[in-house]
Amino acid sequence: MVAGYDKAQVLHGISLEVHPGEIVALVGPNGAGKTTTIRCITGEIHPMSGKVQYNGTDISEMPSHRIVGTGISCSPEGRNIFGNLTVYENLKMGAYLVHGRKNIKERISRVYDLFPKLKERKGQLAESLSGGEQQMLAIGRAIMNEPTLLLLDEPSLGLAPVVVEQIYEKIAEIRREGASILLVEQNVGLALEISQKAYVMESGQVKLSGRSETLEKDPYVIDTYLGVM
Amino acid sequence: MEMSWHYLTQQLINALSYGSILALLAIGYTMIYGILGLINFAHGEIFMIGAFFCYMLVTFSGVSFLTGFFAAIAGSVLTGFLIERFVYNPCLKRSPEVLTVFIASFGASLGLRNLFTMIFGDGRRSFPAFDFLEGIIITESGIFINIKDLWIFGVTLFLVLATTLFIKYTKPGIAMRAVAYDANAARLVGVNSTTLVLVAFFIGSTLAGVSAVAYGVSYGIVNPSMGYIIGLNGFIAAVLGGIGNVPGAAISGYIIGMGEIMFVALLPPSYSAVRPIFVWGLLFLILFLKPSGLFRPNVKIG
Repeated sequence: MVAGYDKAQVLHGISLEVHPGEIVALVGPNGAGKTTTIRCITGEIHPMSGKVQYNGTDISEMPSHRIVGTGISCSPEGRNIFGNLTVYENLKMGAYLVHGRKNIKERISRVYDLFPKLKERKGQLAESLSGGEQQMLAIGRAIMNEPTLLLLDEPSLGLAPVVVEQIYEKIAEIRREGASILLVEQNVGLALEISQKAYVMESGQVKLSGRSETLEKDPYVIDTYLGVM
Repeated sequence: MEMSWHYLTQQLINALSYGSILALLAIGYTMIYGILGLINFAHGEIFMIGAFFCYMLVTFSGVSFLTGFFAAIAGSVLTGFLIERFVYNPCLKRSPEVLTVFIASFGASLGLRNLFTMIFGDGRRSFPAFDFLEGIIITESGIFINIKDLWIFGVTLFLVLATTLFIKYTKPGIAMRAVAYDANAARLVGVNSTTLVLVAFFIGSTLAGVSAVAYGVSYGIVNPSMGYIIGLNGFIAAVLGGIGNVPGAAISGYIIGMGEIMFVALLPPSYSAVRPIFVWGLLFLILFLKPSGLFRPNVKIG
């Protein structure tokens, strides 16, 4: 897949795969093209060449509001929660394409079970939440759609280590419930720990890929990202 | 100065209709701005065309008030949809820059106003009177209340309430607020904003049509430039109310309406010609002191 914005090409031919039930990590430095990759999958941008295939269907040219309907949800970089809506309303928006009041109610209570903090704050404006709570809300909103593929773009961004740990526990829990996850992270150690497979991206290309436990021991990865003293 | 309580109350009562007309217009501005991120300068013409639909049908075909009322709504909604389809939609698709759309919006406003001036001339035409709206109640303390003002206020109150509930509790209402805050995030949860834009134009234009009938009933006239100044005032009310905030826009419509009437009432008659200064002064003050408006806007700030 090759992609970019207007005339600026960001991705120079990358190829990656996510199989059912696995967490795949996409790691690399700032500007490597991780978020651009995510945006190609969500349909926010369309690849210049190449294809995005999902369950055998080509979704490369599908508009983003339709891609959600195929079972792909995204918790975008910077969270992008609806600050002017309450926590409850944000979750409801996550089920925008879901029919049936009862069904939506059940899903909301499942999100509340996963993130009890959100239940405590359900009537509050999302803007007033802490960074960690906003991240929980972004993930909660994304799983309201009961996705088969969940895209998480930098869920640890700007959060305290304790909060990051909590959120990663929940990500593992979401995977146990059956969703495949494509996880974009700058925190390479964390990402390799939770994932089964990983791609290391640099300047728009896949530099390395393989089983996460293998990559963890790879001298290049250790030198460049894991920073051994 | 003999500024009695009685005189002030009378002026406030007189401002009920004018405030209602502005409130209904302000909601249209605020809803369309919220979802499209643009000021629909042609909203005043959507209002004017609604008034002409009602005026033409009642005057020349002798239809009932109710038919005329719905004709005004139909005329406004039709105009709103046409503007969306032929001005904003292609404009936003081709070059979504604020300036382009701003100029297009201005052009649509001028074009429609001049088209109607060409057809009807710019003279004032008398809007038909309806028996059930005529009559005055005189209270014990000697305050005069027009029956039509009560009707206008009542209908407006009902519509403001209905729109507020719609925005607050229904799925498209919540989605409209979400789009106003972050259109991209809204697409990522599956919102197709094309449909919502039409909903916003439908509601905004419907309220403009009602506002137009209220204007006709209240002032007894229609003319092609009737939507110009009043449209600007409605827009200022939308800014004052916090962009995207429906009840805020309505309340601000009344604040401006009453403020303007008081401005005229409290100053010597020779000043009444400069009443627009009051409104523009107010706008200047808001932009200076509290750019986000009096109430909480529904858009991302800063």
